[in-house]
Amino acid sequence: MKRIMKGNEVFIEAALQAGCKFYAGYPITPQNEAPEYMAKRAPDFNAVFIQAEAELSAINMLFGAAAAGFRCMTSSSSPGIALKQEGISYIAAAELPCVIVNMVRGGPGLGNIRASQADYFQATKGGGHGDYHMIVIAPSTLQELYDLTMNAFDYADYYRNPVMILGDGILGQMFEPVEIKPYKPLFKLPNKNFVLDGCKGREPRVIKTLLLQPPDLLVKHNIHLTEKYEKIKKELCLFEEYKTEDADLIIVAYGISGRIAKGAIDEARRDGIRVGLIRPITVWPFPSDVIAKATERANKFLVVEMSNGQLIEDVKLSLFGKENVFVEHFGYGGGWYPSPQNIYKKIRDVY
Amino acid sequence: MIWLLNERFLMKYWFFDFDSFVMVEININSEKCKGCGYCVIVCPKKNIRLSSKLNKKGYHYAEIISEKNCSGCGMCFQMCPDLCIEIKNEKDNER
Amino acid sequence: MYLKRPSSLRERETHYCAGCGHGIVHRLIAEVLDELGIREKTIGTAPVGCAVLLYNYFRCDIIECAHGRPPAVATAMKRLMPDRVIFTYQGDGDLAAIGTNEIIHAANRGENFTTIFVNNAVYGMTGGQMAPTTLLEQKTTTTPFGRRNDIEGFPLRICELLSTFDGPAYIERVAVNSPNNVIKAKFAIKKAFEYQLNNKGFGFVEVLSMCPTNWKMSPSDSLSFVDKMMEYFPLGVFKDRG
Repeated sequence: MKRIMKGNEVFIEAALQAGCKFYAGYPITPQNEAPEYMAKRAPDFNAVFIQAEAELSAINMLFGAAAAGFRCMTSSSSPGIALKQEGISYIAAAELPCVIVNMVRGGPGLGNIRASQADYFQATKGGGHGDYHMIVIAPSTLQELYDLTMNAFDYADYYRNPVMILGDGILGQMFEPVEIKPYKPLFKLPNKNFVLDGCKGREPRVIKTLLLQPPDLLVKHNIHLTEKYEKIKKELCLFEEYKTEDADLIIVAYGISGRIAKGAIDEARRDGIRVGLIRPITVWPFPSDVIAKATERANKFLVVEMSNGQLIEDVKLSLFGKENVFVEHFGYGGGWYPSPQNIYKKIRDVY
Repeated sequence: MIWLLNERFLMKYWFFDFDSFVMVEININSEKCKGCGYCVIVCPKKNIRLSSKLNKKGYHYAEIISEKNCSGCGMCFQMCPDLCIEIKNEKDNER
Repeated sequence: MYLKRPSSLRERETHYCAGCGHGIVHRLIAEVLDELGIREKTIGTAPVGCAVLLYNYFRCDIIECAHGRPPAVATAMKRLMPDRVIFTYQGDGDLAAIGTNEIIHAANRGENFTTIFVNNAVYGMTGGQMAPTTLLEQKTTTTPFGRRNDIEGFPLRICELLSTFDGPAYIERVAVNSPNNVIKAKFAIKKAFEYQLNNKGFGFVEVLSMCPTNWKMSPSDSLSFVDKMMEYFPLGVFKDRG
């Protein structure tokens, strides 16, 4: 059963269907429809909705909700996500599950309310302090947004890690038909044996991230986190390849840029240009191997992103050691949008 | 002559009328004590002092001067931040 | 009568300085948990401050929060688990500096948890810097010439501030610098927890406490300094919805 829905409402509906019982958020354009829709829908699912006093408070409310063992979500846009970074670091350090949605807007600073992809570094390289990672998922259609948001809760619970949905202003604002599928867990989920719900019948538990003594306790924890991230990298890597079988030029783009690039690729193919697309769906873990393997056929890569140059660094890292490979960049931050026409023109310039 | 008697005896005398007497057991754990001296300050009978000796942590620990003198009021217990003090305060007919 | 360690407090020596008020406040809360029989359904929050290690002392579930955020964490936990007892334990930096936003809004929403605010007019853990509650002319490591209102502003009276809201159910300021005050503090803390158990709403107890180390005083002088604090932070009930 398909419904026309707005992007910001899609991920809220998916979250509620997946059993999210707690949402805290703060109004910020371009995701305001999300807390508004959640405020209306939460009672139908017996979920708690709180309009928090700030994004900072919202992420800390999630820290408590996750510690209490409930699926929880917050959503915001770039400046608000910046405010959440300390809290995200704490959640990752305590290995608690939660889902954070970022509808990226133009920056830096207050920026504007157009879409952007300039939070890539913030999402994939940390953002908060310390060695940690969020699983970062970048949908490009509203159906993907729905499906992947549901899956995000499973990844979060399974790996005990925060998961970010890296959307953008366009995704949040657009209308598309979406099939509201019922929730089915992706895998068997572990028991939550860390939950703080009162120590009746068991030893009291502590959730903490201050690991002072002995001096190598925090080192051991960091090693454990590294091993967990290596495990996630091996087990979870989502991407899409579009017309790459015989391509000499590969476009690498995610989210809305990846979707728009397909139009340009089709146009270029009509001119005989052998161009294809690798679209990372998880940008962390990043499909490095897929990009490296593409050098068997292609020697030119065109990175299309709505930023001054962030995704391109991961592409270059993936191509490390490969000889005679060229990487071009197309895009700007600040609310610049790619179009099939301007990408097509760039393809012609670069090919 | 009664005022010359120590208060404990007085209490014994007083409660003697009611066919019971009060027994106080007070214990200050000298190793836990950090020598803050609050108990010394608040004891209404000035019955606690900081020892001239040091415990393993290096503090002049608190010690009861005369256990017989303790009325079991519990003021020292209320003020001790380190729960060094235990006071058992029983009436005979409660045992 | 048997005065001894309450069972909600572990048999463990604390890291607090000699004469620190935290030890007394910990004991009072633990006695209340024992007397009300709620230890097994209580979850507390540890602040960032000297009391960050309180999870080593309380025998109940504890979550260590980011600086200032316990009221947000407690909000979520209480909303999701209304039948559990949630308390936050915060110092003056945690509650009155970085966390003012969180406590104001949690109090305003009338969240049904209990906050114990330990006010010792200084930042203890980090070595004695000025706190929002530092008194005028009080010397600290960041006010070496004494706090001046034209540079550092006036001390914040949190009880008075929160009492202007309609949300909270019970607000009282107490102290732990004499046995009399300690016993009154215990009554206040117990009342705040009872209000939570009876779903009466947000309970807030501010406890004026000693910090001999960072006040650079002997413990006995620090008891008198709390009397001086009371001139600016009067004891009493500021709100009681009954």
